[in-house]
Amino acid sequence: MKKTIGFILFIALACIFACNKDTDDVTNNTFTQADAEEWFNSSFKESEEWKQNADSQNKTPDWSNGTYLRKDSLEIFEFPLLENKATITVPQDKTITDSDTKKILDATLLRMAIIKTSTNEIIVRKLYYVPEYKYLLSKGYDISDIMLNKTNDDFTGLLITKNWNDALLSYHKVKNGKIEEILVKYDANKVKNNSLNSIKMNNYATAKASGLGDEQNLDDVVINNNYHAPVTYVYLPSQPYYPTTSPSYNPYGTGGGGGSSTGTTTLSVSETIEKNIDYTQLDPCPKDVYEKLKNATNSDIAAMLKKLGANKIYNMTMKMEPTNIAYAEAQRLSNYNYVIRVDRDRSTDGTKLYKATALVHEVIHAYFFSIVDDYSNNSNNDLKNNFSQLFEVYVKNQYPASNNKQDAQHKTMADKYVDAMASVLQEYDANNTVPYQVYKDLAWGGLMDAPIFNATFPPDSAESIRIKNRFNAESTGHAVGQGTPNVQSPVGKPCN
Amino acid sequence: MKNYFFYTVIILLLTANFSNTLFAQQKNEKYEALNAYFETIIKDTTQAVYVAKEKINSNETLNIFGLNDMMIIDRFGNGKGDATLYNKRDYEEMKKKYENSCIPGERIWWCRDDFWENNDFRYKKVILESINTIKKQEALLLKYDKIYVFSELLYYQNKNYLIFTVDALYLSGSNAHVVIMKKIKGKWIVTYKAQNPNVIN
Repeated sequence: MKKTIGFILFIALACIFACNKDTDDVTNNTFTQADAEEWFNSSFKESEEWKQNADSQNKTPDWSNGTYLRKDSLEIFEFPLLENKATITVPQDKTITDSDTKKILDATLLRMAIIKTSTNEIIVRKLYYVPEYKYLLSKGYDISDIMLNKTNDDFTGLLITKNWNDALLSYHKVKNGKIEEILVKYDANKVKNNSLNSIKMNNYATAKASGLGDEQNLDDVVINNNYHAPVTYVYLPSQPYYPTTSPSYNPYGTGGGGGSSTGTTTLSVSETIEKNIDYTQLDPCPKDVYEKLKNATNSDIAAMLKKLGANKIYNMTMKMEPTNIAYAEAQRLSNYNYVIRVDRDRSTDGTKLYKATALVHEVIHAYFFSIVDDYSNNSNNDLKNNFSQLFEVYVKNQYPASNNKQDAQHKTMADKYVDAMASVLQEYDANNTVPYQVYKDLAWGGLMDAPIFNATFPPDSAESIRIKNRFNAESTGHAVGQGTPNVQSPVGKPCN
Repeated sequence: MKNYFFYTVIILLLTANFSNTLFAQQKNEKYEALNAYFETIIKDTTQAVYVAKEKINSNETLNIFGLNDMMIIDRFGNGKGDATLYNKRDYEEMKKKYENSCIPGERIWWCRDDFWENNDFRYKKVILESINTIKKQEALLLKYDKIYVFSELLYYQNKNYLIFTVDALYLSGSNAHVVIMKKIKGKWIVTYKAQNPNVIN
């Protein structure tokens, strides 16, 4: 009996440790390791940032040893990264021997951080944890468990942040897991007479004098450890850095100091989505309409998706096929793979503006599908089989606590949706005589079944009738509500 | 010989009468459930409600139910994901009984030989309209804003449940899902809903 209890206890403890390895707050995060991995393998590998680095293929993340933490509005995954070669600049410490310096370099960790920001952008950073010798000694020369900002982490040393293409973003001095100061790039012309100059010179520019100068034989500092293939580190005192008096505590280069923010942004994701939409199977009229939407100068499909927050790449095909009831409908074929059906027998007299409205609406449908796919393991507590229900998913994605479908958060998201869509329609229509309200009304038309619609425009109110009449006028190509104050005539042009 | 003939006629008459009674009882029970549901969605009893004359093809109901994407509904109307109702054997039995039970219309989701009648609804302000062509659908939706469409009701798990599809059509789209009802304490109650989450319009 005791053996059985002991065995069960062992299994339970093993599970707990396995599940929580090196993680903080994992249970409540919405950005999962699978998301990070999938983003890296699909979106990031399609990005310009990846393509611009000829060495991208030679950098291999170790997905099995990821660590996670949430820091303020950032969600961060760190994965050990294997590089063929790397060059970092580190300060010379004259108090330790060359042999000890080599131990520091041997123990230096290289991690790839995949960071989701508060604006749902996802970026990649390379982090080099260079330990102080005393700290390394106290850890028995093994610092593989450290992670900045993790609870109880006591890392002491230097944290170097680079972007994927090896551009240096920042140096941070860290003590007992806390950032003490940021070291920014030294500009000799600007700080010649600055007292910080001497700090810089004393601490970072004396490597050459010690014999470990910038002509250091790279073979002397070849690194071999669990995560690195042979990596070379070289001292380059000709790129000095000095401490700033207003340190940034964001070592990830996601904005707000520590270097310029680069990386794959939402725009590039949304541009990739736009690029992935195959509309070649549409009839000539809707095809022309979509092409014009896509090629708009300011508010194109990609810009709209960016506004709405799209951060995951998906594929979409548009084709002419019978639908159930509407002019166009979206179908999910598999995760992140959708088809838009356009029915050539419906809305045959509808204007081009209506067709643009319908196509844009379906593109947003597909984006909402992708949000559902992000959470495909969630339990199904609500139907998700029409647009207003998918809109609910969209709102919940941004405001998880919002339970009243007519509350301020729903209104905020409805306005966001309407403005994003109306901007696209306005630029598409390119008609200065048509007020922006017309395009907003068309966008609201897609939300007529959502509770927030009735909350914003009470049934039978002038606004509600105007929106319905506008939508119906464009979809049928003739005036609706004639003889009433809310008559609306189509402003769009017919297809033929 | 005469006796045999007499008894045969009596048995046939009784059987026919029993079948008719049974059919009528089943029909009554089904429409009692439909009306119970109808009254949960129509709150404003002063308004006319537009309903499609054509029934939704029961194949749609079977297809959606077969996806097993269901929610159990509590007494407050709140849903929670549930996969316990679907049973493959029971589903196959239901499918065998009801599949292809009507002739599809211009589009396969509606029937062209199975219709609702006003008497099927307790609510007297139901206005039945034919939606048997796409042009008619568009014209009616422009006129009425919203039209309800219902499928025939199907028994599931030895008549424990009644299942049907309901759809609310708008010019901008629709909202089709399957409703699953059970008789509890003499009243038909919505206990589950099922959906096809993969097609949205």
